[in-house]
Amino acid sequence: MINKKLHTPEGVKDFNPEEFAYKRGIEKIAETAFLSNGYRRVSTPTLEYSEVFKTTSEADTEKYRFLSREGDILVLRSDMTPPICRMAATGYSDSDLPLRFYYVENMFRYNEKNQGKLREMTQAGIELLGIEGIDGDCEVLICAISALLNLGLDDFKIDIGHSEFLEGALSEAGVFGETAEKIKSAVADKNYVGVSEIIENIDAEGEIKEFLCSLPLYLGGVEVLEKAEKIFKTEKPLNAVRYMKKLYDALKDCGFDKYICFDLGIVPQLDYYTGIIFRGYALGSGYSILSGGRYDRLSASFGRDFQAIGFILKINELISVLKANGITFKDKKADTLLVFEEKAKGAALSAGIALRKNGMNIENFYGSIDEGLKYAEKKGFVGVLYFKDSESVKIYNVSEGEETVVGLSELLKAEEN
Amino acid sequence: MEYLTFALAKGRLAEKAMEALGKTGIHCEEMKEDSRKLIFVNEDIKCRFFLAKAQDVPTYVEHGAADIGIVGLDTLLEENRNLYQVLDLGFGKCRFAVAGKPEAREILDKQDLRVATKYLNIAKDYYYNKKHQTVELIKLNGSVELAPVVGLSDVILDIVETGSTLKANGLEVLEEVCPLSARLAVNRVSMKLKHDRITEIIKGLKELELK
Repeated sequence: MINKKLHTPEGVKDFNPEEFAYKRGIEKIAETAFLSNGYRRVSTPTLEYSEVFKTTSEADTEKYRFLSREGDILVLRSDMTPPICRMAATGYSDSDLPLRFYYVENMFRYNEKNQGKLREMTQAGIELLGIEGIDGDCEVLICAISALLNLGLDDFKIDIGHSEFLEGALSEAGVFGETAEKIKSAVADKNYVGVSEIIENIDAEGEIKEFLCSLPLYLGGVEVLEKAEKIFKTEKPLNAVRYMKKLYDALKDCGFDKYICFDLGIVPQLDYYTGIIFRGYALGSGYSILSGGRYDRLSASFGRDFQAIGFILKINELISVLKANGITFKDKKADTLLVFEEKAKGAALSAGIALRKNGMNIENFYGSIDEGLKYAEKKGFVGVLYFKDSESVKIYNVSEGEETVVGLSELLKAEEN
Repeated sequence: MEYLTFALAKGRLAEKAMEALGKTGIHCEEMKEDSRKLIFVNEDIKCRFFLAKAQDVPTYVEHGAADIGIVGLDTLLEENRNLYQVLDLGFGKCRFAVAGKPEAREILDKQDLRVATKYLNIAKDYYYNKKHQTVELIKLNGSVELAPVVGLSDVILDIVETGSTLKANGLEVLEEVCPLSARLAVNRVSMKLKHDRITEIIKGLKELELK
């Protein structure tokens, strides 16, 4: 038996100041990127009725569910998109569109235990409601790429696919019903051996068969789209490919093409996606750091009809990626230590109040000046203010070993300037 | 250039895997030496290799601690991790089967059949999703064949290669579950960020298969 009082439950964790500096640092940069693109912060409840999430295919067992006192089934939110859609659908009318929202919130999901996976994850994301097609897709992707660039990352890829493509490719190949579902689920599981096994036994045109068997090779740059454009003849798969090509051109005009790649084998994991789906990857984490997509039909389940697209940054994954890439974030520690003799306590504390008001970060020390200087050196303080009496203050510059004595009024005046 | 890291399932599979990779130009002299090293490097081609217990290979690959894993389909099915399964390597062929004493053939479809296995997830999937049969699963960690012999279970669900261990203990294959072989698994992120090098390897191994 573990002593539960001393431990956290599976998949949740504490953040100490060093660790939290990364989390907060990433959040701030993300927020700046979102704000500068016109997105406004919203917040939704941590608890929702389970019905809000009924639109998604995510397995119910992955959600934290419980019964409220009133007898309703409540869930801890596992995804921000349905709640934001609910909020937009119920609180705004069509004339308010477009809406640009962003959020930084924690999500909860029962991920497998003992696999190093978290069950409480922080996500920073945006939702763009009421802008359709390439314009909306391009805006959101630019926002995503800018956020990653602002974080100091350069070696990353955003992998784009289209929710309609595989379906279209299969119907052109004449594969429907159960076989099509089997292939889709094998592709979703990234089980390409399974895909090949099913395809070998079906009757389809050679080139398309060959294509479906070599799906893992159809990820890469824009050339992947060009190859696919030559293979397919019917509208559905071609429209998806041409749409992605158009999006590529739009992003190329912004100089962002080098961050983009395509994967024709992407299958939507959430059933509300209706157009492009994308994920971001960077060295330093075996998991994606970003994901998003278009979900034009989700609003219908809340009784409205507006186009929408969004994405999330996975803050916890980004922390490991940034560390692996040597990018550091530090919290704003106090750089000045306040040491005082008992008789000068009143003067010292009120000087401290005045100086902090001017923006200084000061930590109080309760002990002798010798102990204080040792502590300051050990903890990396820049300066020590020593109040021996209530008239004059000795200022130690810790790193350079200099000392100066100034009058109290002088110190306060100097700091004010 | 970043290293490309391979996780290989310890044992015969790893030898076969290095043999196949060797034919595509990926080899590691360091590995042939007898040493206590855990990780082997070939600086010339920027590749690293390590051996791990088969069940752990999917974990290393899913987390990205290894870019590529070579492991049996049995392990991939049992562990069910989020990774790319890109190639059937054609070696390490065997199969999953239900085995037991010949007289157990009569009771294979009965409810509450007692099944001993090392592979709980595969057994659950087979009985609950495919056969729609409620069974009693007994998890064992080795020498599963013993279970029906001493009466711990009615049958076993296990890997069968030649069937000689079964035969020696008066057991036989009663039901085929699925064929197995070694697979090439790739981490999701590596598949995108080290795409060119990994594609080369896939193509190289695919050609071997054809020959």
